Amino acid sequence: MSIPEPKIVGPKDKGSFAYSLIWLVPISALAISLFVVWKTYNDRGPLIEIAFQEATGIRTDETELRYRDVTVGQVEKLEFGEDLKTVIAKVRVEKSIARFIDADSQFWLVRPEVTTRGVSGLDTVLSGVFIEGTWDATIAQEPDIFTALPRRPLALAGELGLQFMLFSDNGKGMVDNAPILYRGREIGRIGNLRLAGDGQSIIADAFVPFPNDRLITSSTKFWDTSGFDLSFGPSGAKLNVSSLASLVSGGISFDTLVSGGRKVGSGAAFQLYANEGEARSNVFAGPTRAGEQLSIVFEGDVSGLAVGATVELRGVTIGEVTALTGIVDEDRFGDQSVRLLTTITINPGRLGIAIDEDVLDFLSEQVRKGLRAQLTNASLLTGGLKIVLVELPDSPPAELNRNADPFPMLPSTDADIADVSATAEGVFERINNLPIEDVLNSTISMMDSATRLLNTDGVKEAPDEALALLGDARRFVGSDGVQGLPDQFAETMENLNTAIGDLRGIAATIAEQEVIGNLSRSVEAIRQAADDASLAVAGLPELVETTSAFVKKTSDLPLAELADDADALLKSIDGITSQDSARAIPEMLNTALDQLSSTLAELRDGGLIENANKTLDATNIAAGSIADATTRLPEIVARIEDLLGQAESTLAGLDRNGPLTTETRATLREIRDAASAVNSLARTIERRPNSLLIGR
Amino acid sequence: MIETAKSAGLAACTTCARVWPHDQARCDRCGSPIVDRDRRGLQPVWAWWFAGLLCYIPANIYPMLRTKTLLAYQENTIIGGAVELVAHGSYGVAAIILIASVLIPVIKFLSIAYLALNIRDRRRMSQHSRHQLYEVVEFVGRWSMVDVFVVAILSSLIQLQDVASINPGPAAMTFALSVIFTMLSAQSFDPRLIWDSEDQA
Repeated sequence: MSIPEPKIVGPKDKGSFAYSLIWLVPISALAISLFVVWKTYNDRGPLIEIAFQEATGIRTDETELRYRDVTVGQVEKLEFGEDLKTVIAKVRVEKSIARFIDADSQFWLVRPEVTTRGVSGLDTVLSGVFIEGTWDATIAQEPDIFTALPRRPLALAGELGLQFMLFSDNGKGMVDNAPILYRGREIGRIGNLRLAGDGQSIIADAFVPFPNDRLITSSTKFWDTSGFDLSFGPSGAKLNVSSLASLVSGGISFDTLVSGGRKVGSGAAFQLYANEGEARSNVFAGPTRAGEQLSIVFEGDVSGLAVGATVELRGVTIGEVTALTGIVDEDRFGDQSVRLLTTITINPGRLGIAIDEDVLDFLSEQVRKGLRAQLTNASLLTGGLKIVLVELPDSPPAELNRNADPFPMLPSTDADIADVSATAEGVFERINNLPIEDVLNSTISMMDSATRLLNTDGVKEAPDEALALLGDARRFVGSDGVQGLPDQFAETMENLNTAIGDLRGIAATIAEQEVIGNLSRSVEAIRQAADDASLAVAGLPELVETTSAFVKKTSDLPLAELADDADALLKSIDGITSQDSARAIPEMLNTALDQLSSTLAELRDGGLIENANKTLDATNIAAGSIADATTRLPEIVARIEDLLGQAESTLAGLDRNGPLTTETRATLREIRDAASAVNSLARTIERRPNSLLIGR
Repeated sequence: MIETAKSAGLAACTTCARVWPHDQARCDRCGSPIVDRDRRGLQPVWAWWFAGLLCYIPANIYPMLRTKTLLAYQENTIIGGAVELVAHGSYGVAAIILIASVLIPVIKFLSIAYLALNIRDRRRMSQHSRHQLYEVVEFVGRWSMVDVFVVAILSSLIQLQDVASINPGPAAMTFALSVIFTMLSAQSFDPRLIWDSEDQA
């Protein structure tokens, strides 16, 4: 049986050694795997090491590293530091961000925190803690290991703002994370509270972010606003609570109380005052920082030096005594006697030393030049002492011992107390030598004489008499006569008033009696008569008669009587004023002028002055009227003269030697006489009122 | 001496097992092409086998399951998950996972490699036994997908946002690929080759 050779179909024909395309599958799988491995390795960021005090809640492959709340890494491994004092978390960081992590990077653990300021990190309750990091955008060398901060730093890396320090003696109001308030608004925080290196004060870091950092200058003062401030003043009780949050957890407020402060740089230090009042009272203290502590050993007796005594340099307080203790150091001083070791704190700001300068360098230089500490009297009265830094270039050379324990040692010089007490003693001695006894004796004898003198009857009665005198005076003032004086005076004035009224009536009569009118009319008539005369001479005799009658009438006017009346009136006024009683008034007034002040007030109230004023006014008006009337009298005269002139010229036209002419001339002469009479009257009246008004 | 189809000048359809003269190009019954011995021989077997092995490595390194609950986030590799189950006392489930995801694939890799390497060596194992081994490998291979199914079902069922959610890890994908590749590898193994060794012997 022959076995047919199987017929092979298919790929056999393609060649003896053909690779199947199926190999592409494992090859591509391998390629992909390799690519993934390579990519993973290539994309993997560096591993950074962060040292923590304790790894609370950190879990391998779980705890994240976050930057601005974005996960940028993960803890890959936790191990202990070499000395087992730290826990080192190895964190795989994303490659893209890893290059920014350099020496200034800061890391801290975020975990839920419940404080008086609130709850923070609540999200970590569910998700677990995470590491937060902060770094700026600069690229620099990465250190081998980072040390984590115990808590979030005040200022994140790269954050603009002012970082400075606050220090305080007692740390009151300083709480981690306490707010810095400005006009009630929170603009910054403090944190990282710690004891100063010398253990004398508490220091806190503070950070105020941009742009509020410009509020802080070298003249800014900080004070504690925590709690509340209850004060009693003239305006009553005053309760001052800054904010509820700061009441519970503390708070710090500040203000720049004087202008002209310089801009401060990072790292400046400010004193934290206990309250606003204290801060304000230290306005000119200058930017301060923790005081420099120095020791001074004084020889001899220093009773009177106390903690808190001032340390002065050229009269300016630059520090204070902070501690006093005895010291026995045989090695140093060569004997076993007790010396006074004084610890002083010098405020470098008061010395005018820049913040960044070393105070000790400055002081060393000064000591080399002769700066010494000296005890001197702070007050002669209380006997207190103070320390003065004096410059004694001639003193034996000394150095500022910077290695002394516990503080650098400032050399001292002999106290300046003995001189002062000697002077005081001298003063007291001189006071002692004063003849005080003699002076006292003389004084006593003088007092005795005075007593004796005062005890004599006459002196004793003097007050009584004075009293009686006063009583008399009072009685005199109160007497009816004196009291009635004003009435009498008023009556007098009333009379005067009436008299003036009469006078005014007279003047009015003069004005109103139509003298002028009559005169005018007669003149008119004369002119008419003259006219008539020029026409018919026959009518002339009547005219002349009429004229003469007129003139007669005119001369009959009671002007003379009027003048007499006025004269009599004035005389009577004169008589009133010249009466003895009236004349006596001024004397009486003079003698009792002081006591009469009240009476005079009554006089004023009684309207007497008004009356007098009125009277004088009336007198004035009357005088004016009289003057007015008198001014018109010359006018009348002028007109009469004018009339006469006319009549004369008329007559001149007639027969010069006729009987009519002679008669008429005579008439005219009479008329002229009358006119001159009127004229003289006017002058009289003009003179009289003047004399009446001007004097008696 | 076993009478084989090949020795009889026949070739069996690999789809419906009907034998035809070996020059028949296509099966008249089912229409499949009649392929006698693949000229490429064991190449596809080894190709799929390597691909499967490549995928099996990350499947065990990377996490299979990512479990996120309110308080915790957990990633479990296949073996890590099983170990955790053992720690919790779920020995049964741990055993199933270990068998389905670790034991079976490993046995499969080893079996296929053994069969492929010793295709002509009948001294260690009879042809019959080897054929039985092949049958077992082919049958059991699909059960490796249990783990993948568990992950798929869990991830689709448990999606409660923040409270709890389960997501497949990168291992789930590679493991599934590994299973698929090994199945393909087993399928590309032509069991007739086992019997061919008889002729050459």
